[in-house]
Formats: sequence, C-alpha cells, structure tokens
Amino acid sequence: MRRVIGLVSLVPAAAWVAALVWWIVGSTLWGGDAVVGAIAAGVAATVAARPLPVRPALLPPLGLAVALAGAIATWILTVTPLPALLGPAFALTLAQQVQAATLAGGLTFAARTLAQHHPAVRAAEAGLVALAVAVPTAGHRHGAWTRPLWLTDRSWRLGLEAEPILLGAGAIVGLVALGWIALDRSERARRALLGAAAGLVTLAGALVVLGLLLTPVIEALTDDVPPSEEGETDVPGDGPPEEEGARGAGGGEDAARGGGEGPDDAPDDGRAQGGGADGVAERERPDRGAPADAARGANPGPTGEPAGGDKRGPSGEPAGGDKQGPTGEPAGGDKRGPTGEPAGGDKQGPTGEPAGGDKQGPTGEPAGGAGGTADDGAADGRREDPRAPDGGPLDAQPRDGAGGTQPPPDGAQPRGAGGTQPPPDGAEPRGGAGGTQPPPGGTQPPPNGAPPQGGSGGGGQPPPDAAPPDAPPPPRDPLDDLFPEGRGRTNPDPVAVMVLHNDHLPPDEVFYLRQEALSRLQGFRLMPADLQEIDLDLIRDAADLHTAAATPPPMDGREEVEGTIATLVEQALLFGPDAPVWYEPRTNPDPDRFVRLWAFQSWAPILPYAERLGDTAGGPWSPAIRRLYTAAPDDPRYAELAARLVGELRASSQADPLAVALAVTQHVGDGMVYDSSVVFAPDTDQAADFLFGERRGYCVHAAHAAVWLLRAAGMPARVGTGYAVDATSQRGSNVMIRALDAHAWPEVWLDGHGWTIVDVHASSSNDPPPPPIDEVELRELGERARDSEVPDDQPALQWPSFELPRPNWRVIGRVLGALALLVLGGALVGHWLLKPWRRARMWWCRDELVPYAAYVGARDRLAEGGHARRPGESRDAHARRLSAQVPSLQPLATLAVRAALCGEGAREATALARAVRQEITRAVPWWRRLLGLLDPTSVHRVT
Amino acid sequence: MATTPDLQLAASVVARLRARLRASVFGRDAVLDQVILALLADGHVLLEDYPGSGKTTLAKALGDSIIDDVPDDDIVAMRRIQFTPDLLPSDITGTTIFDPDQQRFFFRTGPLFAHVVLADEINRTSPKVQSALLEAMGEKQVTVDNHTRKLDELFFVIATQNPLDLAGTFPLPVAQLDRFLFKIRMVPIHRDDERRLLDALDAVRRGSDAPRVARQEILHARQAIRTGVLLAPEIKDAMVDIAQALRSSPLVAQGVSTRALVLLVPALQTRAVLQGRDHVTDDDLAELCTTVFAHRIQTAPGAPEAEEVVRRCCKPVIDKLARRLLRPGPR
Repeated sequence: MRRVIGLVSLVPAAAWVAALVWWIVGSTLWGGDAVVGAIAAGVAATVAARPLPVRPALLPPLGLAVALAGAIATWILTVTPLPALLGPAFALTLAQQVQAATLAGGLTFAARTLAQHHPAVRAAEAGLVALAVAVPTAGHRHGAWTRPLWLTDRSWRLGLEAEPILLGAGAIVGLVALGWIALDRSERARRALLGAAAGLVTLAGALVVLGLLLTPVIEALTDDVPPSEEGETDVPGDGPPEEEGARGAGGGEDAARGGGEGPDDAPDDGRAQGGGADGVAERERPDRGAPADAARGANPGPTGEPAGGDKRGPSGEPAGGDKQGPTGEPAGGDKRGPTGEPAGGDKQGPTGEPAGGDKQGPTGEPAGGAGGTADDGAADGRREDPRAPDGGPLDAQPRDGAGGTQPPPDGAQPRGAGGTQPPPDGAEPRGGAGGTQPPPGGTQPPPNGAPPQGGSGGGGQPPPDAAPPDAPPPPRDPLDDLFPEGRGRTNPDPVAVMVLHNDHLPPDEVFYLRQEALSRLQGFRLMPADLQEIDLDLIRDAADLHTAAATPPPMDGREEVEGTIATLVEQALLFGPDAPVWYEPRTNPDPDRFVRLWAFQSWAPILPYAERLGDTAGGPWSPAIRRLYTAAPDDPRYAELAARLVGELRASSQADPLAVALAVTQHVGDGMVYDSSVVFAPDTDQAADFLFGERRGYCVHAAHAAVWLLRAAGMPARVGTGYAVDATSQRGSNVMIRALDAHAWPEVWLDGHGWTIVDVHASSSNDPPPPPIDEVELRELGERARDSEVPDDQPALQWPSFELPRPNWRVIGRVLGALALLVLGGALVGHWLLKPWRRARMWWCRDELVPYAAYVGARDRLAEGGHARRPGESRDAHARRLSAQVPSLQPLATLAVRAALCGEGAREATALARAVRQEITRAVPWWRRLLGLLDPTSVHRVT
Repeated sequence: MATTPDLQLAASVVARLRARLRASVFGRDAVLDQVILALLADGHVLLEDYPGSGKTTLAKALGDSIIDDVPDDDIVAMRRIQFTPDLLPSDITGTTIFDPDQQRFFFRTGPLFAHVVLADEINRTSPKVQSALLEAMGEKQVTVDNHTRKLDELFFVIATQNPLDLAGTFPLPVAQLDRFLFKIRMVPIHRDDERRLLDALDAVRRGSDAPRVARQEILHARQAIRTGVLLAPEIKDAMVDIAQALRSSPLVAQGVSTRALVLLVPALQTRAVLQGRDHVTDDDLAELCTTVFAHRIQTAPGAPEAEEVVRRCCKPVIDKLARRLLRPGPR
C-alpha cells in the first residue's frame, strides 16, 4: 500500500517534470504538455495498478485532488513573485502547461487505474476517449458542434482550454487501452473490448442527454457569478440577458402603476380609456374613416406630410389623431401635443419627476373624456367592438358615477400639471376626443402638425412610452406563452453602456440597438431564421475578430456612427445602433465590471420617415426567401384588416410600403394599452388575441401583430429585438442601456433604405415610466469603457494586457463543490441502491446464481447488523460463529460456496435466505438494523 | 451431501469410527476427528501429551474398530511400542531368527506389522530407531537383512511424545516431523467429560459394541475420497500461496516442504467428507493449515508461536480465497 501511495504521489510530480522538460525543449505546441502529462500518468497508472489493489472508491477523490493540484499550481504562480522573476509571458505559459499537464495526468490516471481493476469501467475510459475526440470538434466558430458561449468565455477567462487536456488524456488512454487489448488475447480482453464498445455508445448517449440537461444548470451556475457588482444585481440577466431583463421588467409594472396613478381609478381608467378611444375610433370609421378623403387626410399625416395638418387626418380617427401625431409627425413635433398621452409621459418620465403624472396624463384624460361624455360611455355599449363589453359598458358605469364628475378631469389636470405642459394639452385633446372626438382632436393636431418634419424627427413618439416599457424581446421565444409577472420589467439596472464616437442623434430620439431579428414563421410566432442567406444584415457570430455584416444596408440616407459598447452582464449576441455593419473586440479595461467590450460601426438612418416615402419593397431575394419574409399565420382577419387599412390610404400611397407600414403600426398602437402583465392563452396566435381582442399587451404582441398585418399586405417584414434606448438616457456621448430598455419592434423592408424600423406606439401604458438614469454611474462607466483599446492584433488567445489569467475562485469553488456534492451524493445513492439490488437479485437472476445471490443478500443484512465476516475467516467459520443467532446461515454459506465451486445451483437457497433474514430479524435489534440500513459503508464492510 | 455411493461409504466409515472412538475416549471429539482424518488421509499422527491422557486408549479403540479381514497374514489390528533409549531397529521392524529344527532362518515380524501402531514416547529412543520407524511410515515397508518387506496397506502410526520431560531424549528434527500429517497437542479434557468418564468406566473397559469397520472398507474409502472429492483450482492456488507466504515470511526461518502440500491434499479432501461435503472449501483449508503446517516450520528468533505465525500468514490468503469462492461461474 505504501508503494501505491508513493507511486500515486509520483504522478503529478512526473507530470510537472514532463511539462517543464517539454517547455524547455522549446515546444510551443499547446497540447504537448498535456500529452506528456498524460503519458506519464498513463504509464504510472498502468504500472501501479497491476499488482496493487487500489480501491476504485479512492479514485474520484484522487481525481479531484489532482485537479485541485493543477489549480493550486496556477494560484502559486499568480501569487508568488515568479512572474516578476521570469516575465509574464513565461509565467503564463508555464501556468498553462502545468495546469494542462496536471489535469490531463489526473484524468488519465483515474481512467487507467479504474480500468485496470474493473474491465467494466473501461466504459468510462472509452467515454473519455469519445469526449476527447468530440470536444475538439466543437468550436464557437467553425466547429462541427455549436459550443456553448459560456464555455468559450470560461476558457477565455481562466486561460485554460479543455481541448488539449481532453485530447491528450483521451489519446493516451485510448492508445494504452488499445495496446492492452491487442497484446492480451484472452477472453477477458475480448469481453472488456465489448464492454468498452457498449459503454462508448451508452456514454455518448448519456453525454448528449446530460449536456442537454446540464447546460442550463451550468449556465445558471456559472452565470450568476457576474464579474462585477453591477452584474450581480441583474442576476437574471445573463444567459439570454435581454430576455431576462426585459421580461423581468414586466413585473413591477402593476405595482408601479398603482402607485403612479390614483390607485382607485387606475385600472378602470386605463381600460376605460382604451375602450373609449377605440369605441370612438370604431365609430368614426364608418363615418369618415372609410371615405377616401378622410383616409387621405390621414395618410399624409402619418407619413409626415403637412397634410397631416388635419388632426384626425392621420389616424382617420379621433383617438388616432393624437396617436398619430406621435407616430406621424405633428405630434412628434410638439412634445406635448401628442404627449397628451404617452409621448409626453415618457419624455418626462425619464427626467424623473411626475412619473405618475404622465401616466395619468393618458389615463386621466380618457377618463375625462369618458366622463365628459358619460353618454358616450353608455353609448359605447352598442359597439360591436369586442372590448366594448368589458371596457365600454363596464367602465361606463363607474365612469358615469365617478367620471361624470370631476375626478377624471381632476386627475388629469393635476397630473398633467405636474408633468409639465403635456398634461393640459393631452387632457384637452383627450377630453375633446372623449366628448367630441373629431373636433378637439382635430384642432389640436394642426398646431402640432405644423412642423411636420420636426414632428417626425422628434417623434415625440410615444414610442418612448411604448418602448421604454421595454417589452421583453425574448430572443428565442418571441411570444412568451407564460409571461412571468414582475421580475424586472422595470428593472433599471444598467446592462451596458454605449460610448458614441460621433455626434449622433437618431431622428426619433430613440436609439434602436438591434441584436437579433425574427423572420421565420414557426407556428404563431417568429423565430430567428437560421438559414445562411436570411437576414444577412445581422452580425450573429461576432467573437474575437473584426466581424462585418454580410450585407450592410444601403448607405443612402444614413450616416456612419461609431462607438464602443461595454456590457455589464453576459450577452448572447452583440448589438449596436440600427444598423450595425461591423463589430470589433476591445480590451476590457475593468474586468471586474465589464463583461465584454466591442466597438461598432453603424450606418444609422438620419432621414425622417417623410423623406423615406416612395420606396418599393421588392427585395433582393429569391422567391423562397421572400415567401419566408411574408409568411403570416393563416388567419383571414389579418388580410381583411390589412386590406382595409391599405384601402383607407390615398391611392397614391397605397403602394408605398412605408406609408402602409406607418398606417399599420399606427392602427396597432391605436388604443393599445401597454401592459406587460398580460397573459394570453398559450399555443394560440397571441398577436391575434391582442390585436382583435382587448388590445392589451406589450411590445412583442404589438410587433408581431404589425408584422402579421404587413405580411398579410404582401410586404416583407420582420420583428427586430434588442434595446430601444430613449435619448433621455444619453449624457454627452455616453448612453446608458438598462434592462428595462429591452424591446421588440416591427421592421419593414424598403429597397432604398434596407430594413426600416417602424415602431408601434401604444396609446397608453399601464407600466410605470422608467426612473431616471444614474448620471454618476453613467459617467463613471463611460469613462472606464473609454479606456478600452484595440487588442494587440487579434491574437487567438486574448489575454487582457499581460496579466496572468485570474482564476475565478468563486466559480472554481462552486464547480468543485458541486462536483464534490455530486460525487458524494451519487456515491451515497449508489450505495443505497446497491442494498435492495443485492437483496432482491436472487428473485430474478439465473438459476446457477441463486445461491450466490441469496448468500450475498444475507451477507449484506449481516453486515448491517454488525456481523460481517472477519478478515481471514472462512465463510463456514463465519457461519459457525453466528450459528447461535443465525443457524440457517451455515447451510446457506455451504450452498453458496458449493455452487461457486461445483457450479451447481440450488433453489433451496431462496428458502434458506428467507430463513436467514428472519433469524437476523430476531437476532439483531431493529434499531441496529435501521442504522445499518442507513449506513452506506456497510456495503464495503461485507467481505 | 456426499453424492456418490463411494463417498457415502466413506461417510459411513467416518460415522462408525467416530461412534466407536467416542464411546471409548471422552471429551476429545476434535482430536478423534483429526485421528480419523489422518487415518483416512493416509497420514500419521504425532500426539503431544502427558502420560495417562488416553493415548493408548485411543489407539486401542482405533485398533479394535478395525476388522482384520485378512486374518491369515501376520499382521494384527494394533500394536504398541514403548520407545526406550536402548531399543534397536530390529526390535520394531522384526528380525531373522535361526530355526535349529528346520536348519534355516526365518523372519519374525516386529510390532510394525499391524494396522495401527502406537509409538509411545518416540523421542526417547535413539535416532537409529526413529529413522527405522520413519522409513516404515514413509514407504510402508521395512528392510531387514537387505530384504524389503511390505507393511500393511493400512499402516497407521500414532506416535506420542511428552512435551515437558525432555531430559535424555532425542527430539525429532523438523525434517522428521515432516512425515507426520498432524502434530496434535492435547489439552486436559473438560471437567464434565472427565466426570462422565468416571461414570462410564465399566462401559469403557468393556469396549463399544458399535459396528466396526473392515480394513478393506477403509482402503476403499481412502480411494473414494481421493477421487471423489472436488479440489477446486482456487483452493490449490491458495495452498501454494500459503506455502509461498510461509517461506517468504520474515517470521519463519524454514518454510514448509512441498511434501507438506502433497500430504495436505488428501487431508483437505478427507476433512470435506468429515464435514459432510463432496468438495473442499476455504474452511477446510483454514482449519487444516495450522495443524498441518505448524510443526513443519521453524520460526525465526523472536517470532511468536508457530501456530500463530501460520495463522497470520494464512489470513490474507484465506480472505482472498473466500472472496474468490463467492462468485460462481467461469473463472
């Protein structure tokens, strides 16, 4: 035994020496050291294992110990003055090689020793070989398999690649095993070979399953150890951080909303408004919406032309009037005009004061409107509008009571006042709208509409409103079936900071940072297209190198914007302002805070919508791809509605994709109540439920509804996801991107301008406005991010400066801890499972094994009762010793030994085993048996 | 459990011998079993005991239990030889005597020409006599006047020596002890047995009337045991392992001979039959190792008693054997 220990302790030492020698020889080959370590360990294990009874149970701890030794080696290198003495590059290489050699050695040793003693365990060895073959074929870039991002990041951060280690260990193990089998032609070797093959297959399957099962766990495990404190707060936001963050944001809404508005009327108001506005709209339509003139008036409006001057022109409906305002131009021009509602709201919101104020603004007014025309409310009842039932009538009542009187107006006013201008404005138009939609609304717009351009540019866009509400753009699952309430939809934690290198302000004062686009119809939702020729403007696999978009958008009407983005949480995909054309990695000046930095160049649109009109939507694609971009759920209502919306446009605009898109988004946003807590039935077309239903939903629903309508109208459209950051989050050239900025928006294809974002702006929102940004933090983050540099020349290994890699001890500790727990738990469970297995085996095993199995079961019970065979005691002697308490053991032992020696089975063994069990029950007190049953080590005490 | 008829015969021989011996000797069941074992295993026994402990009774009872089915020869059932320093080899082997009537020499058989020979206090006689006896034990023959004569096939020696009174003795060297299958150290019998003996004196003197065993039956049983009892390869491995362990142990000055292993084989088989089995198990080996090997080794200075040494050396081997024996199937 002492020799074993001696040999075992020699292994890591040998690996060290081998690694050093290898290094001195001057090989720069990365995997060389691992191979040397593995050779040493393999030989040592083969030599040591043969004559010595090493207990396999010792191996897992041994493997852990060796792995730990490797980690400690690095640690010593990081802490000791070695780097100073030898130079950082030398020390770094040394650390890598030592680690690799030790780990590979440990793996090999464990596998070899196990296999030496238990040919069946050769399966594990075979699995290692399989892994060694499989792992190098995985890569984040060009590998045969997709490699999880966290693994790449982890290797990057720890400075340790699994590939050479596994490759080295696996190759050696495989060679040694093969040699052994080749040299040994005995039956045993043949069986081992068969076992190994079977094990290989099983293990491969198990690995796949395990990988599928464990990846999320590991991701969760590794992800919630963010490198920075900031990161920590957004725990949820990592894997697909946006998703989490965005979705999370949803939760707080209700509460926040409650706070923001009068708690009492809040809900009612919101809904009432929706109902009221819609009702109005509906009513209007028959009247004037249909007529060409009205429609015409409307069209220009949205398109941003002066024609919009006519208030309702834009929308065609009253409510639309203000709505459009925002979307179109006029409203935008004047903050408050449109702001009556959302736009104003968000503007202010950000600034932080009357958050509640703006919210109410919208809500309040409708109330006012409804209240003002209690009749209307009542009258609304007649509408066929699906919302009417709940929204209209129901609300009407309370309205009449409360609304009929001041409350609403009051609410509106004071709030509005607090908010700033908008409220009053908003209140008015709304009131007007409510009472007599067309007139007031109409009046208002004109002024706003006056500066059409400005309007479009400013985009007083309610978008902010709608946008900030940060709809969750779950990258993988756009229409989340179960939209979890709460969890950070209002989460103001920063997820990234963007530093602009040029002066740039998007026309609508919202930075749309595109991360992913959803183009492929799958069921009732859109998913990211995975074909090679789809969405070529996206940059999906940006890793370590300068990566450019395959097909940048047309430069026409765009300007070059450059900048740097530093993320504080892990992101699956990089992002940049619409439309990014390349990314480039940057060094991380502050690894404790930033996760990843990259520079981008974007060709950002600078033209207002009005100047982008008159384009075509042909697309440079093959018919198949075009079909993909125009595929919509098979629901006739979409085509119907789309046709109607198009029909309402001026004849000259009906073929204009942007005009149609604006009309569509306007219609979708019209009467929409932004509500992130909405839950639709799963597995249905949630966008339809949203669009033809109550019109409560969040950005994902709106974006999908708009895209379905556009596609129904025959126009290529898709949903873009990422972050929509309001310009209010900008301070100087720094822009703060927060979890609540996550958003999804519709995009439409214009031949002359590429994918154009046409966002939906909800009429009102149940979500609270975002809190103001933390300016101090933003400045600090921006300054740190500015320190990043172009990495020295795109090395394959990106070491931040020339520091040694800093092991993340928390992660290592957790992984090792989890591993240890897993091993311990597995061993425990295994031991416990072994007991019933041994006991029950005699009932189904082959006849000739019955006495053996019966005896083994009895032996187990005896060991649990503290009557294990003593060393050197023969089986008969053991039975004789216990003959007083367990007389049946003697014949059973005789039987078992006889069966083993003479190969004769006897059924009487079962009877004897039963007798033994009863006798043990009599001889050993119950508590002793229970203790023994719980004691996993009794399995080892039987001999 | 003895399966073949031959083995059943052997078992019945054992049973009859046991019954007769136990009727005469009280409180020594283990020793009786060992004696029977040695008889059937074709070995000889050395008893170490103080006088008056029933050795002669035992030998006599054994001789009485055997029916001499060849009454015409000169061989009798039982003889007792008291060894003294002045004894000569011819005193035990027999000698050639001149018959004046017939004018020729003829051979008069010595006490060795018997089925059971009790050699009392064997260490009191000269080595010359001892070696004469040993040749007879080893070869079952005596050579007198250059003429070799066969002893009976069933030639069984029970030798005794007094372990305490060593003055003027010629202790048997290890090489000669090797010829005895067992060296049995007898201990005083239990109080109850002693008391029972006093009660049953008359019966003991009368002798048992339980069925006896024919000489031919014993020979037959020997043959049956040798061929009919399974000696698994694992057991043979273990035997060799034990021998190796004894030879390489630092506690042992001189290990066991190969002859010891050869003698051990029938002993193991016989013990299996005594236990009612038709195959040798680890238990037989564990049990016989000490009695067979202990007197054959010379312990190193400072080592514990021979039996303890043997036990220690056997322990790991027996343990391993027990594990190996558990799992049936091809090995």
